Amino acid sequence: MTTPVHFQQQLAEELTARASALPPTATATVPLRPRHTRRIAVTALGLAAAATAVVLIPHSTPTPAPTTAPQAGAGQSTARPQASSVPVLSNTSYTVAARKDGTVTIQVMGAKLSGLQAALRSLGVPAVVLQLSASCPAAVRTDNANLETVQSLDPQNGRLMVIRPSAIPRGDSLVLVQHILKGDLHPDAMGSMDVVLAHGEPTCFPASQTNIIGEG
Amino acid sequence: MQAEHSIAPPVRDPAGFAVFYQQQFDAVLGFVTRRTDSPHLAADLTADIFLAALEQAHTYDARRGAPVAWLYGISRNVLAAHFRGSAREQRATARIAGRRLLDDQDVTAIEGRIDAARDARQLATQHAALSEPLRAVLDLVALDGLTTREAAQALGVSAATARVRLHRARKALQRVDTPTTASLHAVSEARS
Repeated sequence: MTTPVHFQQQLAEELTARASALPPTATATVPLRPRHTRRIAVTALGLAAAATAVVLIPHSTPTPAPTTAPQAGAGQSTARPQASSVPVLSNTSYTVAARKDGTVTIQVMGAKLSGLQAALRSLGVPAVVLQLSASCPAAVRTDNANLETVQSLDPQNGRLMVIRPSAIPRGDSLVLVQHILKGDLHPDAMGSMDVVLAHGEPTCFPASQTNIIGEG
Repeated sequence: MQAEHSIAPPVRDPAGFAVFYQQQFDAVLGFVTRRTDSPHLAADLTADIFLAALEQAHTYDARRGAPVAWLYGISRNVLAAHFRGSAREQRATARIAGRRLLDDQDVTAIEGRIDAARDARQLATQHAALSEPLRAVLDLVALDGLTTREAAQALGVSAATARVRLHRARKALQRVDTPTTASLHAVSEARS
């Protein structure tokens, strides 16, 4: 077979030059889209998959705060006493509790997560709570090597996520990414969350960085 | 293009992409010369395909198929955009003018490939009577030598869908007045 050798070489050089000029953020995107996030899967009965935390996130209107800013403000969270005298912060959508062993538990029951970030931070978890953003300009730099150590499911309650704040690398944040579905059209639909460890504190999380297909 | 290539995946770093490019150059040029009889256009399209592959390398997912299937998907899109007459003009500042890289020996070499692919282009012309979904599968299998599974991956459909379309294409071609014997033979021998 005849080969245009000169053309092949010239094109190779052009492509090499183009490849060298590509922005580094583009090369940082996940080439194989491996599953480096932990999906908090959602089932109506709270059935837990073996390897992932499971919580209920029924969708309702109005939906939580806009996508491009962390969901701050603990106004909706209220502390209440517990028999075990450990701090518990909760509202109608979630419950966050500190355990005596230094871990923090999260259970999500609803879609209104305003205040969850502040609640987690008040218990020593460097958390960022975000919603998926279609306009987020850059991929979040994840650091999920320790994710298995940082986050797990309570073996007694598959709907309870257990966070170990001491295992979170310094400078990283635990990012909870809420997937907002079409709540108005599917009021009973269940959402899901991704959990990732990220460098720094991302202010948005691009939808392109998830493996979400359809609605849960 | 040999479908069973065990090749380097497309990546955006220069060294990695250079390996991918060297392994796939003949495949892409063959894909193009089976669809055009102009060496200069073949050079342009080859450059466009590899540039698109470079820019989209981060979208390659090994779980969805071999690199060759992914590259064929890109190749089809680039050619389709070209024949729509819009993409090249829109990307005029970004694309590589492949024909600018040709010397006389290159033109002669590509013309040789174009001549060798004459039968394939005739087959493609005969396939024009088919609907686009059927023709797309048939071309990838009969002209380009992909397996049905790889054709499915290139087209973003399931292997079952590709098999059904291939079957329907064969039936449709059997109904036309001038059966494309070579295509039917190729289809009947298509691997799955």
